[in-house]
Amino acid sequence: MNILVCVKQVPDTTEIKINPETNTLMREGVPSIVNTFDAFALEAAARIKDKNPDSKIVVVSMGPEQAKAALKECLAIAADKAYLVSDRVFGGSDTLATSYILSNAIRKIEELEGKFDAIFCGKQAIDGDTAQVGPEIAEHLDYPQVTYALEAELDGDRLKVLKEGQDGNMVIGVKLPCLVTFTKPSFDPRYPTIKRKMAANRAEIPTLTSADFPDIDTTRIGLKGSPTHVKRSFVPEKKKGGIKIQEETNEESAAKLATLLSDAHVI
Amino acid sequence: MEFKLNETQESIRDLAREFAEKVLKPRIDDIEEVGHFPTDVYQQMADTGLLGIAFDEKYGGIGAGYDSFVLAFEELSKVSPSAATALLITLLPLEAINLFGSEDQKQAYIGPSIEGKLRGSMAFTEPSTGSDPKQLTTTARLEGDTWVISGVKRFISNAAYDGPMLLYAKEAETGKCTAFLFDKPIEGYSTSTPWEKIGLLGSPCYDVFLDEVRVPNDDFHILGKRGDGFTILKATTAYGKLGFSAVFLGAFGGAVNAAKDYVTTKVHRDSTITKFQAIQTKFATMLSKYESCRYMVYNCAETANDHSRLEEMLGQSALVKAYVGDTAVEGCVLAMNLMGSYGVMKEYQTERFLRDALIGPHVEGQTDVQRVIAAGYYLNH
Repeated sequence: MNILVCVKQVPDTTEIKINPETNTLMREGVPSIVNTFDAFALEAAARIKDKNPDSKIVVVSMGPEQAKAALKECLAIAADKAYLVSDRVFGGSDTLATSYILSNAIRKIEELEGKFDAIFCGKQAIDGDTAQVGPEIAEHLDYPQVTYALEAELDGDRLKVLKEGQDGNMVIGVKLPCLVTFTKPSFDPRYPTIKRKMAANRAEIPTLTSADFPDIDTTRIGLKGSPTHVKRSFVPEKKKGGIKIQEETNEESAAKLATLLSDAHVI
Repeated sequence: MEFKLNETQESIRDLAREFAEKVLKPRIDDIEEVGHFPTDVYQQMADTGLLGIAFDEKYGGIGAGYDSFVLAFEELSKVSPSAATALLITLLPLEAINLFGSEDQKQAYIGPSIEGKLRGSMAFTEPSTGSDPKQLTTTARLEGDTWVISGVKRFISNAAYDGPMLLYAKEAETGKCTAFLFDKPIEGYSTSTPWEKIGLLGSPCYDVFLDEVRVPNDDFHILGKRGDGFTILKATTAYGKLGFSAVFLGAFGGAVNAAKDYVTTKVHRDSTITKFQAIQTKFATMLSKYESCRYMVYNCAETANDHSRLEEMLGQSALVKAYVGDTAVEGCVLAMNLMGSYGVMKEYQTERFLRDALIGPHVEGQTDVQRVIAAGYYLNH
C-alpha cells in the first residue's frame, strides 16, 4: 500500500509564551515540532505498514526550508521518503490555497513515487486549529474522505476506519484511494530509533517549487489567491475552573449538584 | 583535540535525552519497584537501539562507537540510572563476546541481546572473593566431553532472565580460570531472591547456585581459550567500568539538574536564592566536579573505540571509574545541600540519585582496587 502523510511543522505549544504587552504569541526561541495530529496520522500509516511490510510511506510538508527538520523527524519515526513544498509565491496561503497547492504537489509526487492509495492528515494543526486543509485536499482530488479517525487498517480494496463520534465511535469502510484525517488515538505514537534517526540525518529531501507545477493556477495561491484573511490574533480569556461531580450513583450526583447550586444561591 | 560533538553523537545524545524524558520519567516508580523492571520499557529501550550503539552493524548494532554510547547512557541516567544499568548489565557479557568470541558466539548472542530477546549476565564474584581469581571456589570438572560446574556466585545481575551466562570457574585439574558460556536457565542453575540494595533498585542482583551444571566441552561453550578467564575478565570489566562511569556521571547530572531547577525557582524576598553567594559557590563547586567527570568519561570512551589500546583502557577505565564513582557521591551530596530540606525529600529526586550514586564506588570493582590498577598502569607508562 502506498500512503502519503501530510505534515506541518508547528511551534511546540507546551513551550509557548504570551507577550503580556501585545498579548500575542512569542515565537522566538520556541522549538518546532511535527504537528501532534500529523504524528498520529504517521503512526496510523506505520501500523498499516507493520501488517503490510511492502507498503511505502511518503511524507510531504509545505513550509519554509526549516520544515525539513520536521520531515526528518518523520523519516526517523516511520517514513520512507519525504518531500518539501516550498516557494516564496506560496507564502501567505490560507487553507484553501494551501490545500490547492498540496493537491498539485501530490499529483507531482505521484509521478515520482507511484499513485497513492491513501492520503493521511492530522485532523487539524495545533497552531491554526482550522481542520480544513485535509478535507479540502480530498475535495480538490475528488477523493472520499473520513475525518476524526482513531485507527485505520487495510481491508481488501478498502480501508476500515474507526471514526470518533460525539456519541460513540463508528467503523467506516472507505474505498481507495481516499483521504483520512486522524485525531488522538488510545496509543502513543512510536518513538524514533537510533538507526532511523541517523539515516534521516543523512537523507536528502527534495524541494518542490512552483516550477514543478507549471499548470498551477497562480490566482489561487499565496496571499492574493487566499479568500480568507486573519484580521486579529488574540488569546481568549481563560475559562474559570469548574468542578467535576462524579458520585457513586447518578442520584447522588444530582443531589450533590443541587446542594452546590443551592449553596451558591443559584437555586 | 575536538570538543564539539559531531552529528552522530549529537543525534544519539538528543534521542536518548528525549527518550528519557518522555518514556522513562513517567515510569520511574515502576522502574524502581525491585525485581519488576517493566518489560515494555526494557523492550522499548532495545527497539530504540540503545543496546546496539557501540556494536558493529554486522551484528545488528549501530556502529556509532563508545563515544556515542557514553553520551546516551549519561542522558538516560540523568533520569533513571536504574534503567541505564538494566541495559548495561546485558552489555557486559556481550562486550566479552565481542572482544574474545568466535563468529558463532557473536552471531548467537549479540544480535538477539541488542534486540531485547536475551538478557545475559556475567558471574565472577563469589561469597569469598571479589577480584582475586586464585580464590575462586566455583569449579569445573571435565567428565568425558562435558564440563560439570558447581559453586556459588554472588551479586549477579540479570541472573533471573533468559540469556547468555558468562561464568568464570576454576578448572578442577589445572586450577586455571576459564570463561564458560552457556544459556541460562539450565538444569542445576538456580537463583536466590534479589538482594536488597540501597540504590539502582530497578536492576536487581542475585546469588546464583550452580549444582552440577553440565556444559559441553566444545569451542562454543568456552570464551577465548581455556585458562584465559582472568585476561577476559580484566578486559571486559574495563568496558563495564566505562559504562558504569557513564551511569554514575548521569546520576550526578540528574542531581545537578534537580539542584539547578530548585535554586532558580526558590524565591526569597521576591527573587530567587541564586542571588546568594553561598549558593553560587556551592553550585560552581558542584559543576566543576561534574565537568571534570564528563571529560574523563568522554576521553576514556575514545580509548575504548580503539581495541588496539586495550592495555591503556585497562588502566584508564579503572582511574575514571574510581574518580567518577567517588565524585558522583560528593556531587549528589552537594546538590542535596543546595536544596536544603527539600533535597532529602523523595519527591525532589536528588535522594534517589544519591542512593544510586552510592553504588558507584563498589560496583564493577571497588574504588581502592581501581586506584591500585590505575597506579600499576600509569607508573609504568
